[in-house]
Amino acid sequence: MNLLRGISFRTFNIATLQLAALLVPRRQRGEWLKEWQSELWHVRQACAAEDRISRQDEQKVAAFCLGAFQDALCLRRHLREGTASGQYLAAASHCIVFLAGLATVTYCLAMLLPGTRTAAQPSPYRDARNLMLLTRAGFAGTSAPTIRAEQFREWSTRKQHLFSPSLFTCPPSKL
Amino acid sequence: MTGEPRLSHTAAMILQAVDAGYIYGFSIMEMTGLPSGTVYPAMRRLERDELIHSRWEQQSIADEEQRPPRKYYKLTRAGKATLDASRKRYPLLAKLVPPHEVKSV
Repeated sequence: MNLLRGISFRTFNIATLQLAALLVPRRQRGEWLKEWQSELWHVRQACAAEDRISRQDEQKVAAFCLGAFQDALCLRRHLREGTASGQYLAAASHCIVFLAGLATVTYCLAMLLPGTRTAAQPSPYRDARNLMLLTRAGFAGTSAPTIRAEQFREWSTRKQHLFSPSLFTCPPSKL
Repeated sequence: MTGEPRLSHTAAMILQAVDAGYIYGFSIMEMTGLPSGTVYPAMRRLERDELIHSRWEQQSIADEEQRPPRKYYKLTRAGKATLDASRKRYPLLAKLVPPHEVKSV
């Protein structure tokens, strides 16, 4: 009975250390666990007299093992603090790469939308902002010219008539 | 260097214990009466601050004595200087942790 109790208690102690080890970063875990297991062996040796361990000593050993959690958390925090500055630099460069990637994807998607490509291209006209599109009456909403070139030239030579009030008067039939 | 770091009483006691010859975790626990959850994290901090350094015992020595190898701690030069400053700050430190006779490791 005592042997069974001893084995189960020992298994519990080792399991406690293994569980605490999960908190330690993987790179340091092996050495950390080795140190704690070695210390546990010595703690048990100091507590157990003639292969028997009292209930009070069991509590001492259990308390020792529970301290491993504090140590694991402490080590984890130290390592995190140590690498924090490097991580910030890496985070900044990752952020820039991510934003550049996002901008590229957004640009490609925008180019797939109808009309975006022509809108994004520079205008072939010299003073595009001040250009007017002259169309025949009834052709509203079109982007293509609807008067012939000679008609435009004729209008150009008759500037004085272009801005006369009659131009803006709609024919009665259109009203 | 601007001066030795100011240690807490617990850290100073652990440093004193290492200097006194209690060179592994469990012996420091026994000597100081501090729990494992205090001693081991404090030793990690002391090692991080380069006041102590650790090394593993040779496997052959441990095998001879049929036990797992231990991790031993030793004061660095900065650790000694810090301990001297701590002794001035905590005059009872040496009395709390008397020297320990140990075989050389």
